[in-house]
Amino acid sequence: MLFLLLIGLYTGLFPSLVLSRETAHRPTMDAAALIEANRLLEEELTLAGRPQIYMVLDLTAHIILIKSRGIELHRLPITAWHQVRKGSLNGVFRLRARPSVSRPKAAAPAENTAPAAIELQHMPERYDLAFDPGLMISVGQTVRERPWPWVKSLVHEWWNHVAGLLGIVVKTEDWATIKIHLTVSPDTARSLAWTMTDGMPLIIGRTVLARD
Amino acid sequence: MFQRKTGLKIAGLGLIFLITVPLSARTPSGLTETIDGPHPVVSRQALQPLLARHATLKKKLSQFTPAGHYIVVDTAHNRLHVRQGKDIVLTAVASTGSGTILEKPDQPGSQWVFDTPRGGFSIQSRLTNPVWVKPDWAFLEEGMNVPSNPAERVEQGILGDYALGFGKGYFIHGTLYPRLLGKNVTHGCIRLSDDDLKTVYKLAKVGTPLMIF
Repeated sequence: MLFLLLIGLYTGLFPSLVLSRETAHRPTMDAAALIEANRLLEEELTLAGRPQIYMVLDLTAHIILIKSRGIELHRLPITAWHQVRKGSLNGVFRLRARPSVSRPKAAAPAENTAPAAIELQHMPERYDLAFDPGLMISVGQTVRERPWPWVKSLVHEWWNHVAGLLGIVVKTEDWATIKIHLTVSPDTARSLAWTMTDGMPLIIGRTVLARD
Repeated sequence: MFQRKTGLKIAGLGLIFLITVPLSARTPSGLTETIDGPHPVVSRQALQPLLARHATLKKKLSQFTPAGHYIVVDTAHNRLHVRQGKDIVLTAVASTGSGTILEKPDQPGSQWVFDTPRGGFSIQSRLTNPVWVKPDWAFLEEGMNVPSNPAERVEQGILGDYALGFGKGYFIHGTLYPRLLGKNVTHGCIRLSDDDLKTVYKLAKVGTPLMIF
């Protein structure tokens, strides 16, 4: 029995550990990739025509692009990702909730010293981003970087799934919500937290076409 | 006894199922419903309509790229870039908003928030030898009363030799505190060194796009 349990845990746990070693696919020109790339471009065109900052999450290329007017302003690498609850990732999502940061009170400026301020280092490294309609992106680190929080998130996911199977109402989870977990470095997590603003549009693609 | 052992075995297998199914039910990184896995070989001729559509869409997207110079401000790292196409013409160390707050004494529950605004803007004005007309918060922050005489709000030499306005009272301007460049210290404006400010002023015209993230 213990042997079967260990086999089951191996099957369940090791794929997630292997995720961090997967590399992006090589570019290909097949029909499916082109259809996906064209879909993403059409969605981006709806955003690029307005004076705004938007985000492109390319899951196959393992990259987050911060863009405006079709121009790449900044890119953040993703170590790995997995989709906990499936659903369509097409369309434009808009940020509804992001991690809050306490703001210090302004003080009289002094000539040679910097006053208290919100800086990149104050941004969280693990958090959830809620988008409309119905998307949750959780951001965190690898097992090696944060072993205990990773285990906690794993147990949390397992419990939510089991609760759903058993019909137990889980107060904090909306079962209609698609959920994606992004594994990123602490620096990337902080940069992403800094960049996100209320209502920021997001489009998600899984294109393997080579980028310019 | 036999039924008890069998029941325990079935319960154990069920427990393993409950543990492993949610863990392995994820979509592994890189696998998708439509892209991964072996694909049927498709001739290039068959792909032509999709390729043509792809080229059209990319061309449409590229038309949003400004034809001349444009400015990109990275508030996280306090950097200002002047770009033309994909080329970076200038990278300058800047200071952007501190993110601090100041309560408005006459409006309980209301406050000033000293953020550099994010989003897409354009240069709306170009000034030489700009003069700072101090807003109310500049007095309140120092514990001073807000003057009733407008002339008492004017300060010269604070903003440097040039200022580029991009709306709602926000400017790209100089600084008396070059040691604080690279830090989030301003009340929302973007500060540059004298040399960088001069270069940006020369490159940016009214209408030059400005993107702040």
